[in-house]
Amino acid sequence: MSRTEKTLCVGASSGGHMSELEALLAYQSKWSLRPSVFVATLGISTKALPPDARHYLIGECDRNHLWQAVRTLVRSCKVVWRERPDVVLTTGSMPLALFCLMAKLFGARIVWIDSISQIDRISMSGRLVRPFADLFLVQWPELERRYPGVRYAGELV
Amino acid sequence: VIFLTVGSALPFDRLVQMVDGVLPSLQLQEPVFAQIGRGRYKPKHFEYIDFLPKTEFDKAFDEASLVISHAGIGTIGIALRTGKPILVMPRQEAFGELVDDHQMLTANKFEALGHVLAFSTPGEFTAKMSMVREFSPKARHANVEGISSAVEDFLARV
Repeated sequence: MSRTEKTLCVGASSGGHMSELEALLAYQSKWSLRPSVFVATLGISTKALPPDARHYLIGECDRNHLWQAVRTLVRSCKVVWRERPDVVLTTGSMPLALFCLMAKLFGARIVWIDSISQIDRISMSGRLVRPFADLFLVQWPELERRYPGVRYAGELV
Repeated sequence: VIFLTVGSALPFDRLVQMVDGVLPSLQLQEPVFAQIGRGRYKPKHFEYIDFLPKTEFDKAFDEASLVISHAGIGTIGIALRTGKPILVMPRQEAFGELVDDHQMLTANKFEALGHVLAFSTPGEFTAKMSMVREFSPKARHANVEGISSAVEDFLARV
């Protein structure tokens, strides 16, 4: 694989996070970099990406399941080692926050979009990623006013 | 048909049981069909299935006159895109249904904006079911393009 083309990795947990990512991917034809790597948590694929995109699963985990988090970190590390993404774009949640952490350690730039279901504060996984995210978007204008460095640019639902 | 769904990931017995308990007293003219996930509670008053493949889920959603669901943003999003009236019940941390109470806030916010009807108790469910025939969900105009532009501004500089 040529390294001249930058690698854009997109990912989300299953459920609402994935719906939000797919809503955004409907606009990918307008981007200067197209997604070539796709990261999901469970056995869910997407039709929102070109067929040659490479798919990976990193498992579900949340704040209450440390062992699952370790597993997700190990799987994330393998994906990052192999793909060396230049940019990771995600709509959350915790497993993708861990993936972002790994990717950041390998030099990736991080675009985090906090879920629209976060109404009055940023999600816990978002708070983990915010200190090292390169672009952090929220989907309610009130949250942009509350958190410095966070941007509101629209909504996915 | 009224379509009841608990979403793709987790069971939600409290919702299925609440609808099953209240249903006889509502004396509805149409049947309920439910997707109950890995729930342990098996409803007595309506047909159900554990999971539906995506295409069949979309078909059930499309054919329903009304959707009853957990307050997950995936399901709410489909209802908003298709203009389908939807009643949502938030999963709660106190019942071990989620790691936090963001679905409570989601349900309240989207109800306040006129997009959904929300309930948490059998009494509220009965009340919202009597309101729903006059309820036409307010259309939502999500600015997805705004987010896409912010992403592209970023990607162009990478």
